[in-house]
Amino acid sequence: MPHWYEKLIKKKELKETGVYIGDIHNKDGHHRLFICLLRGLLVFFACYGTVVGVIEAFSLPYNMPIVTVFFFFISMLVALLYWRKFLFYPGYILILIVFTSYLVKYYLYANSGYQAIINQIYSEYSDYFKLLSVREAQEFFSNRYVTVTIAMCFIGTFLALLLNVTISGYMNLLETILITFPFLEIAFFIDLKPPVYCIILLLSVYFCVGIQQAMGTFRMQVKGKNSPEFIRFKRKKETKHIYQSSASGTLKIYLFSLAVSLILGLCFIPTYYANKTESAPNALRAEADNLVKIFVQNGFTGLFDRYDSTGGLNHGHLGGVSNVRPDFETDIKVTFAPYTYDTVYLKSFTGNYYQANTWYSHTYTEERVFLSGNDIQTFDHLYMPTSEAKGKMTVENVDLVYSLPLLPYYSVTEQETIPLGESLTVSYSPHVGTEYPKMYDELPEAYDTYIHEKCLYVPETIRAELADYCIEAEFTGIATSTFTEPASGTVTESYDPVTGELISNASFEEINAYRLALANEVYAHFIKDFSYTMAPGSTPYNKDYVEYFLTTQKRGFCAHFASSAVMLLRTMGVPARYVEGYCIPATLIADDAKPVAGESVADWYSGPSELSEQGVISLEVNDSYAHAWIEIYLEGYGFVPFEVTPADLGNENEGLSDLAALFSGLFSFEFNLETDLEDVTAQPPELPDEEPLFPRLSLSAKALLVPLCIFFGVLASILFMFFIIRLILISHKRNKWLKEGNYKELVYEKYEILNKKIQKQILSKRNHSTNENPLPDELCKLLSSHLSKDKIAKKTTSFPEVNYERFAALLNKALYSSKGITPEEYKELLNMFKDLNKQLSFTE
Amino acid sequence: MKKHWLKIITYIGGVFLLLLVILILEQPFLLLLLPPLIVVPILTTMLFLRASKYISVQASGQMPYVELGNPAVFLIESTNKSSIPLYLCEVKFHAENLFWPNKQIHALSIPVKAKGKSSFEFPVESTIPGMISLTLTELSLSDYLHFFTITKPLSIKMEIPVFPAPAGCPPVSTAPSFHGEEEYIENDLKGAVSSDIKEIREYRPGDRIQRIHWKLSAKMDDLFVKELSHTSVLSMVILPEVTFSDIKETTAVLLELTQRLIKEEERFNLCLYNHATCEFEYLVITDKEENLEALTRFYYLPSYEGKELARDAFFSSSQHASTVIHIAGSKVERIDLETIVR
Repeated sequence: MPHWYEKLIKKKELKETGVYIGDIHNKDGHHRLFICLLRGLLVFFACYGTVVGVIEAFSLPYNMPIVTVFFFFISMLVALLYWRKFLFYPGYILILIVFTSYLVKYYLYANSGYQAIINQIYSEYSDYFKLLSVREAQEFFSNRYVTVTIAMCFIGTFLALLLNVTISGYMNLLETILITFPFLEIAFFIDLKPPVYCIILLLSVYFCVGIQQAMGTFRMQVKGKNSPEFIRFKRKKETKHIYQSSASGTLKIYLFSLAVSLILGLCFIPTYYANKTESAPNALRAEADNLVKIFVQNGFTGLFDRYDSTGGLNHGHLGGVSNVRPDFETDIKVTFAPYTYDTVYLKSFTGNYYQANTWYSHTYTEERVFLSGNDIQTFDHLYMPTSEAKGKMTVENVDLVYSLPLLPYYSVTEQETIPLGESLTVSYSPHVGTEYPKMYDELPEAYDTYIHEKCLYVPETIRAELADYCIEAEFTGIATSTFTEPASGTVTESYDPVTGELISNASFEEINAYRLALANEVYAHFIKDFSYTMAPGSTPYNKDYVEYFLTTQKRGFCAHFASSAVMLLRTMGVPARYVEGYCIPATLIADDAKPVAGESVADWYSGPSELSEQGVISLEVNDSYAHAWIEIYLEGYGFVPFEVTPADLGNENEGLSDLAALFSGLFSFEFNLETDLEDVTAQPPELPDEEPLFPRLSLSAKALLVPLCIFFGVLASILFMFFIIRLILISHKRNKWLKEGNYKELVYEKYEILNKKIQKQILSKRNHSTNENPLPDELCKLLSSHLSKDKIAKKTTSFPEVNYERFAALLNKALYSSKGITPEEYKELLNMFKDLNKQLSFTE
Repeated sequence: MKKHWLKIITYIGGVFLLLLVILILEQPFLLLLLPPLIVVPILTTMLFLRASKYISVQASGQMPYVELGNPAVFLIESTNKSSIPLYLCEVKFHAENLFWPNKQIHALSIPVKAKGKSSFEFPVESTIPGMISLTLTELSLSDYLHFFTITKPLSIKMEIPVFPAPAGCPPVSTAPSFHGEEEYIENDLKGAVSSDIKEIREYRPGDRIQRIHWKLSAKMDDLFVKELSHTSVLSMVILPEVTFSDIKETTAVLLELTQRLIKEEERFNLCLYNHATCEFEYLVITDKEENLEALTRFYYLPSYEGKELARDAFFSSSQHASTVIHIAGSKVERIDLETIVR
């Protein structure tokens, strides 16, 4: 409460009750300095326990004496800010300025240290969860002993400042825990243990703060003229005087907390360092594990995908997945006899109709379902190519999310599902070689229409864009009569994509060769201009999946490439459809296949084989092999699988996850340093051990410019926001008072503004202060005498005369009477305030 | 015993939160935190209940009186005979000027040391002279976690009078009145009882020894005086009004006047009128201490507004004096009474 307001309250109480309780004093003494020192110790223990605990848990090197001394010094320093009011505000500002300037000067070291800590954490987490990708951030200096020490100093300072607020300022246990324990949780979660003494120190702080907070009497206010020993505030008819902290009490509570923590720590030791027994995690932990894995791999945005696509693809649902996150758990187990070096595809879902970022297994045009998925499948099975190669394959459902059959090319099954834990054995007739002989002359009308109409369907919303895209990409197949003029030298498609009529006399072989050539062109285009990634980001809500991928995103995983290839090919008149399933590349067979003893190859495969040696193998296929590809219809032959996804060139490591990247970006901008540091943009230099940690204080203006701009920009924004919010709050408060009819508070406010104005004017004219907190009658006398002086009176004659008696009476009524004033009286008072303020402003 | 359910529920919530953390982190050592968290509330409650029996509070004034403008300093002292300190103790008290009663309650939160005393001074300022009264009404003790609160009623009262600053007294003659007659005119024949006994009344301080009715006094074992028909009451009486709006001026003038009379070695009585009981009290003041004591007695009178009740009551009653000096605010009036009975 500001001093002037306290005086006003005092005068008010004396006027109302005749008595006023002054500043209460503890005869035993306040010992404020001692209390500050004790709190500094609490801050030090909390800071040290947290930061050192985490660093030790992750086995990072650092200089312990330097860190200990620095933490102690900074903790005591920030705690002592609460000793006196004149230390508090300037002290904080000074510390922040020094902190920022040193951070700017040593930001490369600090950044390196910070990145080292993050990298180590990522490394440990990846090892713990057996994740394949490890995100590495750049460390400018490789000497972690130095960089981690420096980073700890900066982190410790920041933490000490926060802890000072929660301990010295508010004595709040929850806040203290929230800014310390989560750091240790990072270690505990993956069974890494900070040293026991760190836990003991933290526990002692928690107990001490918790007990003091429960008592509610250990705050230390810095505001007010003399930082009184007792805080006074009024609750209804009761005035409370609450003492601010007792030195002996603080000491006793702290010693008690330390004793309890030590005892607990001693009890911890046997269980603390014991190895955790291997057991299935509880449901809560399992869920937490999943979330943490997502976070480690993909950052925060990974937690906000619209649907989960772990464990394979999702039946044609596209768009909502920003990252594909395989859990690398075995989904299926396949037993067969390999016959080729090509990838073996196991088909599950066929997408025929594309609409609103989803593939459907049926065809659906103008609200009339043409063919259901089963009907199409029946046709597919009837009009499937066969060959002399015959094979047998067993697919066991180990952990599939959905249980559709997975069928190798070309096979048939009556079974609609493979339930979990069960297997399906099918006979298949694979295509071997590059020839596609004619299998059928004619097709049933429905199937024919399905192939030559429905499999050419492109949604109207993207039709034009896709056609334009094909023209821009200069695909040779763009010359279709319906969409655009044929380019010269191009081969026109045989079938009109709209009517399905044969418009040329090209042979099936020519048509099929043409279609395969187009598909290869699309594939080549993808290789050239697109990149593969499992984390492309999700499609915006108002965009089409395929269009967005082709025109803007330019990066994605198999579903992107497959969907886009189908749409492009259909645009160019090639019947194509989207397929999901699993793929078994030759590398997987080579790395993970286990030979099945006692099985004869002849029972599992007969026919041409590209392999020199054959055997029956069993293979575990995990969800990272879930895949999407396309099928192209070859006239007279049938649908053949075609791979359109470029190979992953291992460019997954695109930097840190979102949050870490943000911080990394803040400190990783390049500019030329004109300091003692070497040019770090060329090569990360190795810091020799004997180099002093703190070079001489020479700062380059160029080096400081950007960080200073950022700092002041942020500061200015914060100040601006603060003023805006303050204005909003004041305005809200005033409106509330007005609505409630609480004119007293409104009048108090205006009264004080007027008082300040007149005091300022009088002080400037008379060079000495008057009664700083006059009562209404005194204020009116002051105003009338000040404004009636000749020179001033001449200036203000144009203003309406204020009736000072009436003004004083209204003020007294508003401020002191129990009934208050009416709205009309308030308006009258407002006008008087306005007039007086105007007159005073005029006379300044 | 009052229970703070919100704090208890919050504490239990915290324990469950810890359980949740233990389940997620799967660290067995964290389970060791649970027993202390369960034991601590029980332990603190037991200690608190034990300590609360040995805690008492006293209040005292730091000075016998103060002058207006200076604060009256009171001392609240808490004593704890047990070896268990408590840090959340609240003393409710009520501070007022007896001339200006108010209903404002104050609650002072203080720590209580183990095996010792804790003292807290607080000044009370007053705008008008009078008796500053501090009454401790309640002592509330809470345990360390603020789950329970025990309340003990108190009835401790301390008072410090606030005397006015010296002020000028309006000029008024304080010489005893002479109406051309000897001071003492009466039939004082030895042994003779005047036939003109108007009444026999109780002895008042200042009455002459000669007027004592010894026979009756011996019989009644109390002093009685003869009020003869021609007896003249030749005493000076100061009669202050207890008007609230003028109390500051009244007390200042009263003090000044009485001090002057003492200095001039004039005999006088101070007549205090209690309008609530309609009684007069006469005080003989011969020195400074008696003067301050008399003023203190004046402070206990209930105040009133407006009319000069004391004056009206005095003259309408059977009170007699040769000279009445009536004080009402800064107005001082000397009234010489022609009520000498011949």
